[in-house]
Amino acid sequence: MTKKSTFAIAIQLAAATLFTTAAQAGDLRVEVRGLTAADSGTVNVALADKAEGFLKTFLASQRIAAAPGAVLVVFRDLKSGDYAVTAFLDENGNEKLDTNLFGMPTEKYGFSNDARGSFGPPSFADAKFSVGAGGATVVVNLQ
Amino acid sequence: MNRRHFLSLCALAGATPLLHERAFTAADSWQAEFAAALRANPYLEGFRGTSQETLAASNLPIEGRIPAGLRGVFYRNGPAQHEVGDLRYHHWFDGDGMVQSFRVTDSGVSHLGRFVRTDKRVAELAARKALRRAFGTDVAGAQPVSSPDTFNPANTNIVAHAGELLALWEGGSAYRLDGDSLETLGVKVWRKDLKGVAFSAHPKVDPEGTLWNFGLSPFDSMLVLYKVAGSGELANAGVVRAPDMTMVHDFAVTSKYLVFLLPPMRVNKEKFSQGKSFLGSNEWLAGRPMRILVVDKNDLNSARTLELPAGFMFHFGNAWDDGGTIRFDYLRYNDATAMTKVFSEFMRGVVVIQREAEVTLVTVDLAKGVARQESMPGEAEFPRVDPRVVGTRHRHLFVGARSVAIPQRWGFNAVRRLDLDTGKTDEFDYGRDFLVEEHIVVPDRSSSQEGKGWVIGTALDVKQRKTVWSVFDAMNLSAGPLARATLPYALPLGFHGNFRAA
Repeated sequence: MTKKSTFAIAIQLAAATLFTTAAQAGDLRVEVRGLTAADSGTVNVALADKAEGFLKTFLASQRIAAAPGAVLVVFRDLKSGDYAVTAFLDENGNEKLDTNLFGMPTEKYGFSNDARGSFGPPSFADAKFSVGAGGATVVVNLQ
Repeated sequence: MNRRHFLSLCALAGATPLLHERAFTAADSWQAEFAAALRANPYLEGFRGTSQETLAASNLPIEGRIPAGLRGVFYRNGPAQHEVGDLRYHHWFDGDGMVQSFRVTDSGVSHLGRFVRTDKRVAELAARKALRRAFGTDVAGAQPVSSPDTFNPANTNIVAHAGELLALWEGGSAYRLDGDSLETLGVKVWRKDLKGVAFSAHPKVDPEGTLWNFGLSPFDSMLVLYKVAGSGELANAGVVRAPDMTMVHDFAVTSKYLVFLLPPMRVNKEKFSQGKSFLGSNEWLAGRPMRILVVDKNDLNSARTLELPAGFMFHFGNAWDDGGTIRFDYLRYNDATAMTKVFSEFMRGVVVIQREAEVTLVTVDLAKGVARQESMPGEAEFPRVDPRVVGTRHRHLFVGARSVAIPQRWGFNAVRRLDLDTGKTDEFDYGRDFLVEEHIVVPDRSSSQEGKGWVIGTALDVKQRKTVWSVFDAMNLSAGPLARATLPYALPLGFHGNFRAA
């Protein structure tokens, strides 16, 4: 009845803490939008840096209290390269993306680039963006 | 572990992994074709559609006398806006739902119609163009679908239960409406893990007040079953799986069982993902039988499968069981042409005449695992029974009937009662100028006897371009209406409705 989606599991497994690297480091600002006054809970934001294992393991993740409008998280000192971000609103604090009986998320979620998959979750390629030495800012719209 | 489950979301997420919407293609010729055809064929009036948010008229002119026991509101639902921007939908099932209410009081009859403010409608009104996918139209450049509710038009039925009024579509959530103003209150969530799960358009309310329903995720071959207590609380839910499914429109209940018929069709995920409409993604499975699924009301997580010869159907009349035997009736078509062709072509003004469905009686021997069926002569649709006999043995089946063939007209000219014990029929022919919509049975609460009460329903008077509402003695249709109220306008032809007694 309460089988979890791959995505939900992946978010759960994204226990990695903030990962820091050496030279050529920039900050990634992730603005998570789409929250209303009716939304409460915690926004989980997870960062990936490669296509292999996308949505199974993440480079880092952060949690921040939901607030109407937008919330901002920053992943610091990332080395230059391609990244993808996914986020969801954890309404009930169980640290997973809840799904209905058909496996569809019942909590708001989104990907960088507003990526949506076709017969599967979006790929790393769909959601990826570049972070250079000067850092980057991306928006994830929760739906 | 269930990649598949997330896939189900993405299955519905539709065509495009592209990050930007594809350019909208130029409108096709359907709008112009329909407009030209309507000028020549007044029978198409019911498919013109409207974009007016509300339609209202009070103190309707009434001929005859409305029975004193008949007080309440008759609600109906149906697709009412067939054109969005320069797109004319290619299928009758696509347009946004507009709920019609006929309020019957001591001072007469008033009408109020209002569109359901679905997520789809709100978004498309703001954009002034079609943004969302549709059941039977390939909508170029449609937004990705994050759940079936993305393109839920709430256009199929309207049911009052436990103090709530629910506008229903078979692929998505129920929308809650205010029973007086018909304002949309929001999406019905039965339980958090059922949020966004389909709640189909033909729930069955048994005489004790328990509501049974189902919801389908055909891409996952999953059928969710709902038992809602008379209080409105969800009493139970379960899931059964069956391969090779497509839409399932209706089901039937008996005292012990839930009964489904699955025509030999399936929806092709690949076609849908490439942007074909849901309907356009369907495939007829030649050589396969029609499956009967039987679910025990006490175990909503398993189903037994039996077989009937291939066929197609939308609607059940009623069902009952006597221990090891289930009996039910349904309106049977030889194939899916009604849905795939007839209900599409008249959206561009092309009337395709084919044989309508026939009332078909089925006997299922559970011990032997066999079913047999027998069709009764006569073309019909929109079967209903007295609400007092839902799930138990019924004698009288009420249908819209086609007893006069008119080449340029699809649909029904009569309301008919079939006495299943004697085979006799009792029928009122509205005449060649009327298109008869679904008629329902309203019990006279002073009696518990099946058929004691009234049959009410609407019909489109093509000549006058007005919709009429009629009430009959349920056991004497051929005597003609006891009363008839006439609207000052024609309503778009709709689907299903129900009565909420005052």
